[in-house]
Amino acid sequence: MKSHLAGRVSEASVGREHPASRLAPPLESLLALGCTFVISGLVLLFTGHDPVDAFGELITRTLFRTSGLQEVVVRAVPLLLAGLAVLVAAEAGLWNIGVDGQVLVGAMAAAVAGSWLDAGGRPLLWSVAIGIGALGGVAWMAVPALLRMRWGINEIVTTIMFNYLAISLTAWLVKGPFRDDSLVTPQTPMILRELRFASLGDTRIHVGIFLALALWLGIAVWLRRSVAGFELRAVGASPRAARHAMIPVAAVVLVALLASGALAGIAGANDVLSTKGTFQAEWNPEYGLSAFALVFLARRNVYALLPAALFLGVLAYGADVMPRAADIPPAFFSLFEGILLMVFAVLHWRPWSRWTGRSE
Amino acid sequence: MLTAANIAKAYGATRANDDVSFEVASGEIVGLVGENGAGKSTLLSILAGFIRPDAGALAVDGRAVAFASPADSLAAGIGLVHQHLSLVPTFTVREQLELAGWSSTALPETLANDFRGNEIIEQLSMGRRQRVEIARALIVEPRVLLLDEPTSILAPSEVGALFGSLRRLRESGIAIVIVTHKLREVMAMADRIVVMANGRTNGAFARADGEWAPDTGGEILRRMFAWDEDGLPPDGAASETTVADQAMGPPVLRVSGLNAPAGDGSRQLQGVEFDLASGCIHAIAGIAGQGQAELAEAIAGYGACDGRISLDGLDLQPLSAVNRAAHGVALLVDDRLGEAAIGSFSLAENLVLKRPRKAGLGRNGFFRRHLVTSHAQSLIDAWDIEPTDPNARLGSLSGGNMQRVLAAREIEREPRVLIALNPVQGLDVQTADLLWRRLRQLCNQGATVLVFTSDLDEAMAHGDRCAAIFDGRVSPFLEPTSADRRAFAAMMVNGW
Repeated sequence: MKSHLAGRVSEASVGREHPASRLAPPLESLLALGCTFVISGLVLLFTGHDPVDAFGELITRTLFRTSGLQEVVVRAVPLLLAGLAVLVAAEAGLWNIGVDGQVLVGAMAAAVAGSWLDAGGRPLLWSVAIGIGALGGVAWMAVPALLRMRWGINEIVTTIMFNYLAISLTAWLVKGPFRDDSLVTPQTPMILRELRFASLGDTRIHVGIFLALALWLGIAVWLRRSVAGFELRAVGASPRAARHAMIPVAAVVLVALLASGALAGIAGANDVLSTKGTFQAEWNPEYGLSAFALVFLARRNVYALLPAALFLGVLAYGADVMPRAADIPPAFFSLFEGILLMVFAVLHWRPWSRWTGRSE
Repeated sequence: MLTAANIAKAYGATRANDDVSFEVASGEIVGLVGENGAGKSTLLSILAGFIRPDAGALAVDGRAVAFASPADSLAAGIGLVHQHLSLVPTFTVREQLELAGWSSTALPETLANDFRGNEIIEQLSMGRRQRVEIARALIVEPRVLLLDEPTSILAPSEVGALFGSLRRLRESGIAIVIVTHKLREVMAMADRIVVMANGRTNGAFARADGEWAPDTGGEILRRMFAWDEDGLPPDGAASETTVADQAMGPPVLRVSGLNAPAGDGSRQLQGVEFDLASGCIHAIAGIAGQGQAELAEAIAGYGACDGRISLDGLDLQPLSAVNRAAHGVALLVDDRLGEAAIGSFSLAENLVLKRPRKAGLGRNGFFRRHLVTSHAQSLIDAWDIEPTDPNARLGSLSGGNMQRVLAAREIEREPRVLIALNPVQGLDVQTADLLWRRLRQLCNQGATVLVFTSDLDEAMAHGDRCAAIFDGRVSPFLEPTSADRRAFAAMMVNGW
């Protein structure tokens, strides 16, 4: 009855559901990166820097020096893990904004477990601490996941709230029950250097890279080839179609969110077991924003997460060296990621998506 | 007041409006009736400025007008009340009216007695929301008010109130057009009734001394379905009606005392009762939105309901949807891209989307991709699907090919009962033909088929047994003979 009255609207929305993708995802990502370099370059210009010099310095220091390359890889490892956390949820149509909190709780859990286990050797300590770290992330996701599954409460809001709870909880734990009283600064007992992740040769790169690569490949295969991964993607693509296909949507939502929490927890465990060796008060790597930039940059393609993580590794290391090398504050690199996300948002603005490709 | 002369509008080969002339005078309520697809929505959209006619002329008060947009129509004094209302749910009544240009501190006269102005729209009953919608349409003081299926969202108790307020508007000199397929209501309400069928006006009826002539209702029905004097359709479709040669088999699916409460936007089911015999196509004809989807979902196990449902003697009620499917219940829905399939997934992926999946396509929780592809390829060949590439995105397929994919997915499982909602609606002739043949083959293998359709002729041409559905109730199944046509049509429009 209403078909003709609704005609204009429905024709337009059908067009949006199946736009002709005129720009391949890699090209779209490169376009977004180009725009971001230009916009952030303008920011540099207006704050009294030479953008060409600054970006040149960044590239030289990160990609054309052995030490720089090593640092980029080391920083890409937790970013890849955090990106996987966001991606697994995103493939099920869910947004885990709580990566920061899950990283903190996972790191705290791994730090405590690692400091208690000084007998039994490295493989045991590593696997137990990683497992406990993953459980920490799962525990921190459990409440938002159950709220979402049982009552459909928006996971975006709850996971954000749990970030603040995680900051306070870990601050209390590190200053109270798990504090190493022999030290002045509040932190958990150090995990002995010889028990932490081994370095590869005499580089700074450590075995955490194998952990991240194994999880990356495993999740890629699981999402693309397994029946469960297929059902997860179906729920993300169309919950209504998934229900009609008799896929247990609520269970898929639960699994996706808990897996996402586990991966974030492992990202936190990786930091503790590799570079840090402890959980220090006030430490918060805030991988969440970068993880989102990563997933957008990779256009939700799990394989593209790896190069995207390396690129964000460049930015992360840049934030460390550029303040001294070119007097550019670390906040500039957060700004860069923020601009990148905004550029993607603008590229997917509907009137334009016709020319730029797929809309979200 | 408002006249439309010789209006024509075609969509491809379909003539939605074909030389339609229509008028409504000041202080008159005109009912525009017709079955689904008769062209009344197209006419309404033209009058409201949503679509432009290919030919024909509109005039208001004798002055020729042409509408490029709904705003033009509104400016010419034509107000529209949408079927599904178009209010902002979180606004108060007053905010809603102010949004539409109401500036006085007092509420409009039609609302003043029963509303305070601070009620939130979404907390109001449908009937009260509709009153706000009508009041909003009246703000610009239209000369003509168009109402699209105004009673479809109302509870029975609210219908009388709507009629009361429309009569008061008529007294104030407004011309009112009600588009509906509910014959009983429009006869209670209208001064004049215009019937549309197949894109044309097919008769007009007026009260004489305030009363309808005897058998006006029957005559309107005959005109709605465009039958000749004997009650036969003009194209002789009735001659295709065949009752299956073989003896009717034992019942496969038995439904009794099925009740389901009305949900959020879903219709109540009331005491549905029938047996579906093996080897037969059962067709249930009904106007859209009479509980077809709710009944189909209840049988397939997607929603909770009371009553008994058994398949080959097995009680289905304790079983989940996926268990019912495993025992041979298949459901082919009509919302292809919204519900049945995923447009961004490939053809092969959509063919393995639905549980329970064909055994052997996976191992240890992983798909064997070459088997998934060859499985898709075999169905593409068997159903003559274009494109032939199993990796093509489903969303890129035409409606007919998409329906072939979805029908193939259901029929391949060799179900005991296949329930299909409007399986050939809007499809090309070849696909429709193929689908009916495949449904017949399924029956010949001893299964049973239940088809819901809004096209009575189609139901009678292809169904071995036919029933009507109206307001959540299903009539008894009858073997279709042309003599039953009037009876079925009456049941579709008025119930029984």
